[in-house]
Amino acid sequence: MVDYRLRYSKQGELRFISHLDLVRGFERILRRAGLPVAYSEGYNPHPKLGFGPALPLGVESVAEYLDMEFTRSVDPEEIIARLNHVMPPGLRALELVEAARKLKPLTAVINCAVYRYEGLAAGQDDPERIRREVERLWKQDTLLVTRKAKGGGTKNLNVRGFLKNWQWLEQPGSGPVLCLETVIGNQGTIRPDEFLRLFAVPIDTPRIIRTDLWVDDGINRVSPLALCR
Amino acid sequence: MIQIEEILARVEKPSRYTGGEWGMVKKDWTKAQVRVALAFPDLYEVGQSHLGLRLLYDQINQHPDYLAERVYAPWIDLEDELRKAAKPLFSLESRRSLAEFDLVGFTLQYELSYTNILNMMDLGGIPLAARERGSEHPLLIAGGPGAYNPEPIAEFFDLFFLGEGEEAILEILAVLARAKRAGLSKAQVKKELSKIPGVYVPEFYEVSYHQDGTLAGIRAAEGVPVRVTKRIVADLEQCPIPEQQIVPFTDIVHDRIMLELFRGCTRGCRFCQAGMIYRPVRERSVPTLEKALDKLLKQTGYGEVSLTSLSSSDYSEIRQLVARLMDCYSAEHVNISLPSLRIDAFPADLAERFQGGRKSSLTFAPEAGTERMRRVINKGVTREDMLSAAEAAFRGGWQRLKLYFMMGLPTETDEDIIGIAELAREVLNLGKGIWKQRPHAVQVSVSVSVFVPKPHTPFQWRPQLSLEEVERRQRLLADHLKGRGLELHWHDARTSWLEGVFARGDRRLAAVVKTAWELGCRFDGWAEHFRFDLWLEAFRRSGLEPDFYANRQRSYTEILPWDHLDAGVCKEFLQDEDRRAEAGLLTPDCRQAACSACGVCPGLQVRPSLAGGEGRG
Ligand code: SF4
Repeated sequence: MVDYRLRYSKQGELRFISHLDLVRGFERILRRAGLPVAYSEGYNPHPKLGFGPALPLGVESVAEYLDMEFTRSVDPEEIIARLNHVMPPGLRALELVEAARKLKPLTAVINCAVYRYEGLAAGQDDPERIRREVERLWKQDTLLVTRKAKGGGTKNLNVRGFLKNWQWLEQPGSGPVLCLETVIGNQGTIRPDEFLRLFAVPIDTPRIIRTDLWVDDGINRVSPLALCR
Repeated sequence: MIQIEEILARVEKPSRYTGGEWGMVKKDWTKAQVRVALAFPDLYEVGQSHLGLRLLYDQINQHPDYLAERVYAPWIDLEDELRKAAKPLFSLESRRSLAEFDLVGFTLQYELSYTNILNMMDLGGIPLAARERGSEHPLLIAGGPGAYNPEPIAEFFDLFFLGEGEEAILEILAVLARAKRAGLSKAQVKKELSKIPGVYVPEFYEVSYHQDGTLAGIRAAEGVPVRVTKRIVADLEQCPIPEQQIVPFTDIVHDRIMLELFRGCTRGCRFCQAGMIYRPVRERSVPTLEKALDKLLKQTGYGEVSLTSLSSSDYSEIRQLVARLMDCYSAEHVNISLPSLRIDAFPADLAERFQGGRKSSLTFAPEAGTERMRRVINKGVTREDMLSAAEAAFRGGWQRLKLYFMMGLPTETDEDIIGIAELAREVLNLGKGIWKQRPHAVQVSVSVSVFVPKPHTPFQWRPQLSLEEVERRQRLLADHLKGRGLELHWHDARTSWLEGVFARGDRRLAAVVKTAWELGCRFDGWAEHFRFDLWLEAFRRSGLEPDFYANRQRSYTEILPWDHLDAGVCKEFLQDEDRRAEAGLLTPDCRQAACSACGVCPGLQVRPSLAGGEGRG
């Protein structure tokens, strides 16, 4: 058995495909690619795939990860080529590394997500107001979002602790861009759309792109691919 | 291209509307000579599962000059958004409005989708009535089982197509391409199209009525056939199986490869419309099926295959086929299934292979509770057959059986209703006896639908059970079917009743469909949207009596609204079968016994063909 870790992108209208649908989609992509995926034992065998943290509906990404177990080794270049040959438009295999050691699941190691908001201020005459709003939010100790509770109903949750960092980039020609770094993983997270709902000033519907998922030990941050080497 | 990105972000399950799936064909809009919208009047998940549409999509798009795109009914949330933004209903491929196509083809799968059809036309910017549409509007055509009596929606369509459309669609498109180049008027185009066998142009047929509401006559205009006969593909072996299939992102109803083993079924169940209109039986050979499946598995990446047909276990070489497929693909983790595993037609050992060791539940379809009743409907299964099949299932490891029945079949008495409960109890006790250690794990679930008499069947003259009588018989059954291990499920009797009204309706009902739609009826087949009150209101406003259509015994001499539409099975055969039903006489399957002279084979100049090569002459 050989383990591989793949980085792929999910862009354009594929942002409307849910995580669950993507999981099923990948099983079929791998079959089409004719790659030797290993299957679990039992009455209902399923391919041995390990996905990273789910990407929220409506969000694009250039940093999604997938662990795959194959029954034999295949050249990484060839895997990427074969995948890209059979992926629907919007999905792209970008990088692939063969694991030199046993890997911990992606969801167990990834703990930081970076989102990029484009066009937040597209129709605003005072984009600076949005930047000041982020500054204001950052100064709060408590930022409440309402989520659906497990047994029905709703609950309020303080998400301030999930906000790590932000950056305001002035892009010539295309208006300012907000980059937001959040906690993700077992300890919880704030979804990129939840963050927008905290705003008290009007904004435009932005394009949101997950640009990075990191493994951060407090001192260094590395890409999940780096853990394979 | 219609901009809907903003809207998609707000609706439930946006991937229903995005398109872009693997296997989607997107052709150059400007280069296509004729553009066809294949419309299905229900959600993506339902429509995308429909085999007939998959075949047409492939057939049209294979042709260099034609293009076909898909349009499904928008769920309520998208409809609201589209109306608010004044945007039209669009195709998935090019995101063009329905009105931009040359031909819009609807599938008539069930009567309760009629309001969705009007809603889709309206959202697509197409005037509802055919006579209000000019040459700037697309032609509207509909096919599918509903086209065998499309009269209640005749005024909304320019054309209907009877039968299997793979061959005819190209003939129709060739006429349209020529007409476009020559600049023919809509009336001229329809005249041309009416010459294609299987094409029915309702406006060329004038219907008159008697005082009592029955038909006085159906008069064909000059130069069009008096009766329109269905089209079928005579040699299914020569009819290519598509090598491509769309692989949806979202989980649809039949999310798998559908491999069509054969068409037609001659078991001759007298209530079954499919069994009459799809005759005769035409099987594909095992090698043909194997070859097609191999290509489809590679192209789609699906790990699930369904062996589709009206009654797949009747395929003459089913054992060879299953054995071959299991040998070839079990190592590749391909799951092969029969659409409904019916053990009454299928030995338990084979059923086991299909379930791959999983023994969730098995389905039987006795259809009726007593042997007498089963003879009436020509389902010659005896009580002993049932019990021995059930026994095989219990011994084979199953603990839960599902039994399907119908209520309101012709000549049904209370005894037949109680018979349903008795049969269920017998099966349950049998199971408990076999599963002595865990008798409480044994479960028999009984599902009862209301019989709807359908056109072109031996029971087309029979009354449907009234709603009051359905309720009484349901109570009767519920009283007799009590106890641990027994479960009872109904179908909503009101939807069956409405289905019954339209199944045998005439052209006057168009007003009711339109009013119901205006009152807000949509997705009538979806329990949460079914508004019986609005339908009753629509009938009130039209002045039409729904019971006249559903609950009346018709005489053999009455002119029926579909008498000018020919499904190949002759009226004499249907009447004869109706009389034999009354007498409790069985009519054998022409695959095993003599031809029962239903009329299809001589009429269409075809013959039944079985995979092994022995067809009947
Ligand atoms: S004509 Fe005879 S052989 Fe042909 S389908 Fe009818 S009963 Fe069967």
